[in-house]
Amino acid sequence: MVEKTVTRRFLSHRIATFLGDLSASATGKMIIVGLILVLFFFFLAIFAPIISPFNPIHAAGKGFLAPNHKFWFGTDNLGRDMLSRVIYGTRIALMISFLSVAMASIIGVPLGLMAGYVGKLFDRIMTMIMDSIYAFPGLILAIAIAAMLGPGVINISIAITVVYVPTYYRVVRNQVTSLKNELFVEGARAIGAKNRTILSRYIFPSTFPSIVVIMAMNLADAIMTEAGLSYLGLGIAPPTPDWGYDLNNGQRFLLQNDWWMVLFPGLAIILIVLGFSLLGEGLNEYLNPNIGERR
Amino acid sequence: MSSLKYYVITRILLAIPMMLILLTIVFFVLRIMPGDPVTAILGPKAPPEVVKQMRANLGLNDPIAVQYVKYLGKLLIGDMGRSTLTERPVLTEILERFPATVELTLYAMVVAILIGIFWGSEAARRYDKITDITARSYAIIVYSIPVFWFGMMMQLIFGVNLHWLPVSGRISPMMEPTSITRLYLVDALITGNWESLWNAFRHILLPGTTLGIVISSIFVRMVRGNMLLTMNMDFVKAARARGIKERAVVYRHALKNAFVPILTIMGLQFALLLAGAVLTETTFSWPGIGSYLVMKIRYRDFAAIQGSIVFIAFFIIVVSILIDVINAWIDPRIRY
Repeated sequence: MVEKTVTRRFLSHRIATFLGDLSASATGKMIIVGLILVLFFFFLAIFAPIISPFNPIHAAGKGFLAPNHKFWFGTDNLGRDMLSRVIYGTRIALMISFLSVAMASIIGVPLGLMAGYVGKLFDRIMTMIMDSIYAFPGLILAIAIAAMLGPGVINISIAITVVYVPTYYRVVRNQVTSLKNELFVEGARAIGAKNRTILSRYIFPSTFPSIVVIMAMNLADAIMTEAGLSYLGLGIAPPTPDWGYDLNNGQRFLLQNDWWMVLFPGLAIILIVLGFSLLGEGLNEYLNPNIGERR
Repeated sequence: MSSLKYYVITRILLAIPMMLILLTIVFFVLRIMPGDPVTAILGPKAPPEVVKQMRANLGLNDPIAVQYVKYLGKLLIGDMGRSTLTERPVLTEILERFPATVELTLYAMVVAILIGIFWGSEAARRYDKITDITARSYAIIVYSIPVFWFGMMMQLIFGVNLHWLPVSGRISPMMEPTSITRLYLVDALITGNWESLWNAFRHILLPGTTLGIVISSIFVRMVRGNMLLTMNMDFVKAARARGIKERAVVYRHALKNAFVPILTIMGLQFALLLAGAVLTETTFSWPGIGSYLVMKIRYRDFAAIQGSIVFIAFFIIVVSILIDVINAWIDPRIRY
């Protein structure tokens, strides 16, 4: 009992000092602000049914209502509450971005590890393929794939995944090529470790900080790409609340000055992307201080 | 000179496998998709004979390897097939729209470079001061803004509410200048058609500035980072020691030397600029290849979709070669 309290105190103390240390530097402030923004949107996504004042896919009042005390963000052309749609839209944004980042890293990281470690022809061919994809505008590639696969959470995630695989591949591969000649790897080989063990126990952990940073940055990018795809009408099928789709829909009524239909979904995108970018940026400077300036 | 020539040739040869890989990816992505192009064109209720005929016409009955080789062969002579919607050659349609995209991206590039160089250099000059912090915040916040949303806000403010600027199109009807380069701003300038120039300028102002500002976020960071590296070099200290004014040290000495990496990075951002152009063109109904691609996707016009993506890929590779060659020309150390 006593022990538990002590541990808890100790832990809370550690967290407090950690946060205190963090908030002292600019990097730390970035991480904290980013974390707050991201957690805020997670909160919205999880508790959307409780927080949302209305059902996001049914008319809650008259159409084209400007923001007022009942509908804080106004209503769209079909009389749906924009606030509820923005809150629910968080779900799609987070779902697709996390899904695509997870898939991209699951494919890209092992390929990068192998290519970097094995080298030779395999490395050259993979690198050439990945570089070609990397050089091409991600959004346009995603547009092509999404157009072919059709709408849906999984399809959009696949389209975005293809775009981000090369990012993981390149970073991991480049790190592995320099790491595999380090002393600690040579040591592992000397004591008879198998290639698989060397890769998973020795090399992979060293690439981990970079992977985390890229993941955070990619989450930001993936949300933008998803919004872009649905803005172009390639995203999730309506009536599911989706920021990009709402922006597309709102644009039709832009000339009659119905600003609320586009302002709020856009602000949501900016804030969530900003959250992930700050987090990624901050983590990058925190975890890889020496390469911070170069990005 | 010969080393530069050698460099150019090597660079072009290196681009060929890259182009081939992209072509292959585009081909297979568009081929293995679940939807059938013929059903997409004719609708599900078309009579089977018509479907059969069309499949044969489009060469869809051939084995995929044969289709692939045919496709590459045709591309080599500039044949991208015909649009299934308008029945016109895809390449002709793309070339008609291409100048609009070039004009938009060039304008945006100029805006982005001006903002990037100014903010980036000022931030490096006043490292960790309020200017630097503002520039860094600008970079990270603007990077988070979706270009199409920003475009709509610009339309709302300057078009719908203030009525200052047109919100769509490239030029008013009947105002087109005599066609020379097909870049309206340039053509109007050459022919001295001021009315047309003013009109085209008013049209490009919103989309171009929107795209330029969004891309500038990356430029600010790049210029700042490279300037910080350069400012720590000995020759900058030497310039300072000789009593040259700080402004001249920054803009004349440091910036010039920081320019090679900056140029390379700007070249890399060109792909991003084109992706942004697809969205911006859609928002502002700008008649370039971005809005062409999006329109063709709506009609599921496969030849046109494939053609525009291949064209964009080709364009990007050409630009990246150009940038590398310019770099090699400026900085002889690059030619290896």
